[in-house]
Amino acid sequence: MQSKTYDFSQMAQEAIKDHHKAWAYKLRLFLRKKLAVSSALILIIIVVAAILAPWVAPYPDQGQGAINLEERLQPFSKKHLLGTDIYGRDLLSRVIFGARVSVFGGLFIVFMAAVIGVPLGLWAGYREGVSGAVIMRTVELVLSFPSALVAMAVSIVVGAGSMTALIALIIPWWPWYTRLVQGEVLSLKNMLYIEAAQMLGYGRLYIIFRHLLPNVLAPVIVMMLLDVGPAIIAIGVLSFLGLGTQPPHADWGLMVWSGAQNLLGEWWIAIVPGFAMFLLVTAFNIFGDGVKESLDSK
Amino acid sequence: MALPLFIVKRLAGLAGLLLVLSVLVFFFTRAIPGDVAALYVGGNAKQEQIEKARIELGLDKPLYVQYQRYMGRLFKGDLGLSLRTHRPVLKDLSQKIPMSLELVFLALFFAVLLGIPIGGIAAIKQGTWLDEFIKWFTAAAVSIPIFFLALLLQLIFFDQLGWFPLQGRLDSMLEFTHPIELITGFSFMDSLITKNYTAFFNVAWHMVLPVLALTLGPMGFIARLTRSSLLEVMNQDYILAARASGISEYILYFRYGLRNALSPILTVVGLMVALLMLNTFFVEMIFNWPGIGYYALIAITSLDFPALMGVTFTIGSVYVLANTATDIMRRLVDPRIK
Repeated sequence: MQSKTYDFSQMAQEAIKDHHKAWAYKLRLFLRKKLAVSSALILIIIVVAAILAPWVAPYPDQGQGAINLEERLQPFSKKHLLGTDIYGRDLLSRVIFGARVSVFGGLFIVFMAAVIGVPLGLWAGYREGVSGAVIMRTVELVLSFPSALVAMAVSIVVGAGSMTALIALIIPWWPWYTRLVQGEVLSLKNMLYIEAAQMLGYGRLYIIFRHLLPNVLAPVIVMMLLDVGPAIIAIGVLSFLGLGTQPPHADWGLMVWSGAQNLLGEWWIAIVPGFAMFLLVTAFNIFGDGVKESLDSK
Repeated sequence: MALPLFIVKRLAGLAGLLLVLSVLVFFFTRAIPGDVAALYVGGNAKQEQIEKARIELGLDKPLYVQYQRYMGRLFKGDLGLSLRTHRPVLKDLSQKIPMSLELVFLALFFAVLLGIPIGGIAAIKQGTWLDEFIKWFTAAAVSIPIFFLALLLQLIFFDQLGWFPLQGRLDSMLEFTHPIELITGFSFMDSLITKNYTAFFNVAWHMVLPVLALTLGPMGFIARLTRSSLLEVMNQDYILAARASGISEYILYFRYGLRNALSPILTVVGLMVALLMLNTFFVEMIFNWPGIGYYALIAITSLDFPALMGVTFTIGSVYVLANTATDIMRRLVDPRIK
């Protein structure tokens, strides 16, 4: 009688191959979505422009606030593709520099919210005891107040500024991640592989970060992608109210606010940065939707 | 958990939240930089006058005594005097809140009325060009910053087309010829009760752009949610069974599917009220609409802290109330939720 032999290393390699195939399949699914792919392209252009602002902006000094009174309030022209503002500054350059606040600020808020929220959620889900209960009660408390109001209140008390605005927005933002992750962990922790790891005597933190974290990552990433757009709007809202970036620095919300005074004459001063924000947020939202749909499909 | 117990628990939680809110609002207003007593007496006051005002406002007492007085008054519904108008804040607010709620409720009404069918159609036509278009349109609707949208509407419909007025609630002429009597504070209702139709139509005309600005975002949100929630429900076995029995697709979606897809939509309606309360700030600011947002804006710039406290407390309470109400509603609509 011949006993059946198992080649474990080959099985493992096949499993890895399947895994890669699954990811390749998801990528193909995503690439088939025209809207999502064009959004991704728009995002890449804006992000690259934001990173390379001093080199791609036609008038970098004006983008950073230098005034140029001879060319005030000019409409679109070859010299100033998107016109100039009340101080004669080239709007294209201002919009490119302003993209830095929106893009990096939005990413920073979402990243920090996840960095704070995810570990707390992992802990609260895995250890349901007193510490978990304290975390979850805090989450509920923070989420029961209007986040925009909290952010405005913090900015008013601490004093306006770009960094204050970002921190003021992270404070009401992280609990969403804790709540999401805690829920996921509650259903994951009765899985066989977690019990196996427990029986093998692995430590709590090892199980949390080695076994639970990778399995909650997909929904967290989707939530992060879908949160960038709202985070950019939230930054815009605060700076529109004068609670964010201060002049002469370029910031889309601030530019819309100052341009609003000239709306009925030189409309482009407010509309150009407003449209830039609209475009960026829409692109992020459609991109996030596309990734979510591709990941969800099995 | 039994339903009555659930409601009692939620209401107890509500009381706790309002208490926490009152504490937060108190410390928030005390932490604002600026000398309140000096603001109260105005620009060129002498030092003695400021000191007198300080004692009058109770600002010379220790913080915990101030907090006790503040809570005692709050229970009686006394929010103090506005530093700017020198009138009771509660009186100011009771005039301003209906103006804002009018915008918020109208926007919510249209958002639900349009959002659910739009999302439903997208779900039925899943994968077609119509679905793609709705997907793009609703993504744009939720992505447009409210202040940009409001300015854009002014630019297009007032400046370029001249169809709607730029701002305000009533033509300034009508303020004298057909003033709206203050009964409920809701200008629609008041002008109808007093049979002041000229003012009624004028207010409606002024309201179109602010309400449109407010409606678009929540409408897109509700449409997107309806689509995804409906598609999820349509994968259930009972839908398959119903479909096998030959029921028409529209009845299938709108009678059988939608009812079960409604619970997540209800959840966001509370969220939408909160979003709308925030967005009215910007809409009122840009359209000069005399509501609570406009009032708050002046309060912020003039550091009118009792007024600011009143506004924060009101908006916070509306938010907390809306959340609790939706939680209870969801339980009533969907018995499966534990």
